Amino acid sequence: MDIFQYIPNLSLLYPEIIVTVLALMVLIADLVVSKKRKVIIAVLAILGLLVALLSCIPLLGVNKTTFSGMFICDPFAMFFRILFLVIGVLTIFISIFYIAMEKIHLGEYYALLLFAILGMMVMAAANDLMIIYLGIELMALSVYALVGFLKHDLKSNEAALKYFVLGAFTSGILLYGISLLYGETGSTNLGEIQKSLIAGGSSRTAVLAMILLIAGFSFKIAAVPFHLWCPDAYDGAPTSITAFMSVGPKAAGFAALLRVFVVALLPLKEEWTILLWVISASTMILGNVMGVTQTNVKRLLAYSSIAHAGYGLMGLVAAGNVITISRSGIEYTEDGRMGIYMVMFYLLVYTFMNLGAFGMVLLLRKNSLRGDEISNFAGLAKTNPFYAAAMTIFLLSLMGFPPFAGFVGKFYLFTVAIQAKLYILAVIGVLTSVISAYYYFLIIRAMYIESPKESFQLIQSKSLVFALMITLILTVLIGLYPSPFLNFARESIFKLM
Amino acid sequence: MDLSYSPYLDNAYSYINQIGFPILTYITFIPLLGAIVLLFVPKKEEGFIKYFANIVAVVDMILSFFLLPFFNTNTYKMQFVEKFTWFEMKSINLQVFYFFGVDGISMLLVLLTTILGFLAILSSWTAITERVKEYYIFLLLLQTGMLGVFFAMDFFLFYVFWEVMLVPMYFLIAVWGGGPRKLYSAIKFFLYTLFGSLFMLLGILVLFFNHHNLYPYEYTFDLFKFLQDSLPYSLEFWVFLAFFIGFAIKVPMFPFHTWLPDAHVDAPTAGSVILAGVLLKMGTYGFVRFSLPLFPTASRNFIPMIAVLSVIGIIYGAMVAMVQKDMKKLVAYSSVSHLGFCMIGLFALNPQGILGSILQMINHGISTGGLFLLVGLIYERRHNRMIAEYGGLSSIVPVYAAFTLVIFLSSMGLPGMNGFIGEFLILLGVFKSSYLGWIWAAIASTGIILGAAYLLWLYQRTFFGKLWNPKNFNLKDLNAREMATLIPLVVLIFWIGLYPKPFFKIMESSVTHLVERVNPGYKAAQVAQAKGSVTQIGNQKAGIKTSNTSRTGESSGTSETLVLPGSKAEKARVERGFQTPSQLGSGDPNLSGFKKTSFKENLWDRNVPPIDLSKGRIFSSPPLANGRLIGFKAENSNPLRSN
Repeated sequence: MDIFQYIPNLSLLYPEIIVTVLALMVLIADLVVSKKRKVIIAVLAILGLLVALLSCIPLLGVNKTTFSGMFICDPFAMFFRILFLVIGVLTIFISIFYIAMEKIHLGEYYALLLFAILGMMVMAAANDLMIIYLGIELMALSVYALVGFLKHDLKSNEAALKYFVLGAFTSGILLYGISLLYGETGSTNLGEIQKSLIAGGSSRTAVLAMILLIAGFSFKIAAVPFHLWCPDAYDGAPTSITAFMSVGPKAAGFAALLRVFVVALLPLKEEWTILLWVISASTMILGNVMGVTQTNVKRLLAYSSIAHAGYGLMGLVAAGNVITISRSGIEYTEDGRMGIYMVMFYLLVYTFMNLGAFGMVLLLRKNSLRGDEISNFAGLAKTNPFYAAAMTIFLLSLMGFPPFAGFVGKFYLFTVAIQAKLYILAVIGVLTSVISAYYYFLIIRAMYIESPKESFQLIQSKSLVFALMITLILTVLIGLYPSPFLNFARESIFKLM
Repeated sequence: MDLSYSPYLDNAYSYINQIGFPILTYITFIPLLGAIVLLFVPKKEEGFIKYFANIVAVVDMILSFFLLPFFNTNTYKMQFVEKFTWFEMKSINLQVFYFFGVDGISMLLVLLTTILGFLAILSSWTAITERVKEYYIFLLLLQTGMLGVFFAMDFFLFYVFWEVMLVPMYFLIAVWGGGPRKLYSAIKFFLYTLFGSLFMLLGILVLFFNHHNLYPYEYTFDLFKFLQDSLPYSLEFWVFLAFFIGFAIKVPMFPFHTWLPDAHVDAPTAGSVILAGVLLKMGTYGFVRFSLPLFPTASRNFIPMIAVLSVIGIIYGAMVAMVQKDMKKLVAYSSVSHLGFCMIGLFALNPQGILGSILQMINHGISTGGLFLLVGLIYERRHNRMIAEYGGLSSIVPVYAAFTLVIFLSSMGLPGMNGFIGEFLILLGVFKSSYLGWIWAAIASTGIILGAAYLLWLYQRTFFGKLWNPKNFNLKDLNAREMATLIPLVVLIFWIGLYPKPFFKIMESSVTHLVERVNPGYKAAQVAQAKGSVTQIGNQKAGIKTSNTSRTGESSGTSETLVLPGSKAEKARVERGFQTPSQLGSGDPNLSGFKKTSFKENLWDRNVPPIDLSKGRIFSSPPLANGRLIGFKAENSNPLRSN
């Protein structure tokens, strides 16, 4: 017996290792750097994340497992690792000025952010339910703390407590599901679970475990009916963290969800497609309908982000409907793959446009003005036509309007839904898109038609503007020429399926 | 942008038009370019912005006139074709094309768009005083969107333009509109249209997968590939409905029309002109370009519903127009009535009806565009559009009164003017149509009478009688610029009214081809009638029915089993008389092997094919199916490559 097979291949984990070391370095540097020069920590964090991004390059195309099959480094994991690192960089860019203004410019902020990113990366690269749980907890605990980071703001405290209590409760449910699944199949490894379920067929225990897992993941991606924390937490959290939460943990939740359901629980697809169909439909309906009555931009975007989770789930349901499974094995057709990678493409697109929209909310933050009411946007087109146009582009893109990135994303999600003959779900998606157009237009209307109530100046932050420009360019570019991004998403799932 | 150096030309599917100049791209994107330049002009330079926007519109209009001398009226095919891969996923063979083309159906609409676009911009010179820069940027963006809709032949591209157009229009109504309800009207317009177009999107996706199921290794949105696919009737029915919602809201047909009066009343003059003149035409254009040829069976089966809705629209629109107190609202409801004519003409499914309908689209653009300009002129002077405020104006503004009279008469269809030709042809088509008949023509013609009633009554109340209102005593007559916006319309009114032949010539080939596709029994019946053989007509009618049923039966059979290209499905399609790619167009009409004379002979002088009722289908081999294939041949595919 070769003893070396038990020594983990750490080279597959370089990005995670770098982020871990970086987070620790940030904590130590925080002790050294004086209070007025915390920007150095931000720069350190950004550089570290860029190094982690560089370390991803040699891993592209690799498909290996390590730690006895608990970790996997495949293109699917790489897609999300890169996405999370980019989210991390952009979040730090939009945070620097904002947290200084909120007087929370502390080293812990960056450290917690990095640990959250680490948790997300672990979730994406996990090939074992225990590791997924580990990643979820690492991410969630960091984000709970970040939501409550505005120590003197009661709203922030309330949001953190709500998020924490509900989150801890769902973690328990998730863990219960994992344990049931382990009892049923005798393994926590995703591939082993799949084999065992194919061999044994679906049992009631397995279905119950699947339902519990759906509950756990739905909480992370804020899908109805596990969305209740979302508007409050988004509203109370520091806006930069809201921006991060709306894209990072959501994408990580989707990463784990996709891997668990497309690999481990695929034999139960008859059951989970029905359940996810209902969740997807109700998420789209509720998210968009509730968005209509909002007057606060952060809450409005929270409901919009709930709705977007529904659109994403549509792709997963479609994939589940198309993939065929028999005793002899699983047949992932091209159509089935399409469902999955369109979800991933949508997450990619959603990341940029949503970060951009929240970046605009940050731009309006003044000491006297929270900047997150729709009325605060009044007359922005007169005072700052460029930023008004940028916000309009982000909102149109979120609406799924051509020629912006959101359109391509939504277009292909409808495509896969039609392909899987999910006509009713597609019609629901279409109708709710029309509803969403209404509330996105509330902001556009405020910017272009109402006149400014008081004279205000936008905050002057080069890093924020830089992040906005990147998201803006990508939102437009992916809309006009999506093929490289589509191909990236498509190639990322080949080894998975 | 020199497209001849595009790397995509190495792709066998890419193609550039016969004149070797991407003229359609230029026409479409010059306004966009102008808008981008205006972005960088300081806000205060209002004079420069106005001149610049007008110049851009004029250049665009003149460039579009250059299409005419190169336009080949003897072919129904797409001309000036530009086709490149826009983006693709090589791994799954997904290609989205940048595919522009123009044919007899869209040619006149394009010219109408560029002319009205220019007139709308010209008419805004003094009407718009605030936020001038943004106003012209939005108008120019709108122009690009509208032209793109008429040119795009790839569904993805089409959908992008179709939607892009909504945003500038929303802003035009919401920012520069008048009236307390302008925000409501703007968002209503936006949401209604978005609602319809998203259903159309689902329909497009169904077509996309229908094609993908027939050709498992191809993902495309190319209209001409969809046109060759057989579509099971169970799908055709629903997809027709999905497209119907999208287009009927845009037209707008009767129950979907409620956004129109609101949007018109609250839009600025230029917005109303564009809205009535061009945007509504997109709905009817959608029916001609997509619904009829893609879903011929469903189109025939839906005729009763569409005819009923159109006739309700004609009469209801006219009656509601009659009782309006606001001039602009009156004109808006008259649009509902006129568009009802266009719709019923289209679904007569014979050349007269469709020709008349397309011409009526142009006429409506000219006349109603003119009406909105006239209302805008008086509104600019008095800031009031209530009919009760006016009276006896002809004594104080005679020139204005004269122009108004001409345009009113044109709108109500006086012989010698454009409206007459269009409405006459439509009624003729409806009368002769085997699907409708004289009763529908009779009911529809009451709309003309009502139209005369509300327009003449409006004229009487505003221009005749005593000049009683002191506010009107100092009204100024039209100045040179204002006349310049109206004169082109008046010229067109009389030109179409007195000598419409060139306009028909542009449309004829395309329309004839369309009729043969959507109503295959028509031509055979014509020829049979000419021979005086009554029995054959009977057979023909029976033959149509059997052929329909056999087609649906077969189609559903083939679609369930995936069939590779070149196999059974392909053969079945040829047997059924479906046309080969080259016959369906998008080719170059001036290529070798395409002779004008042979085309004409084949079209008109061929004998009627025998009807084999025993097999339940007619071998009415469609025109041009004489075994000659013209298409993307290597030596023809790209004239520029040889240089």
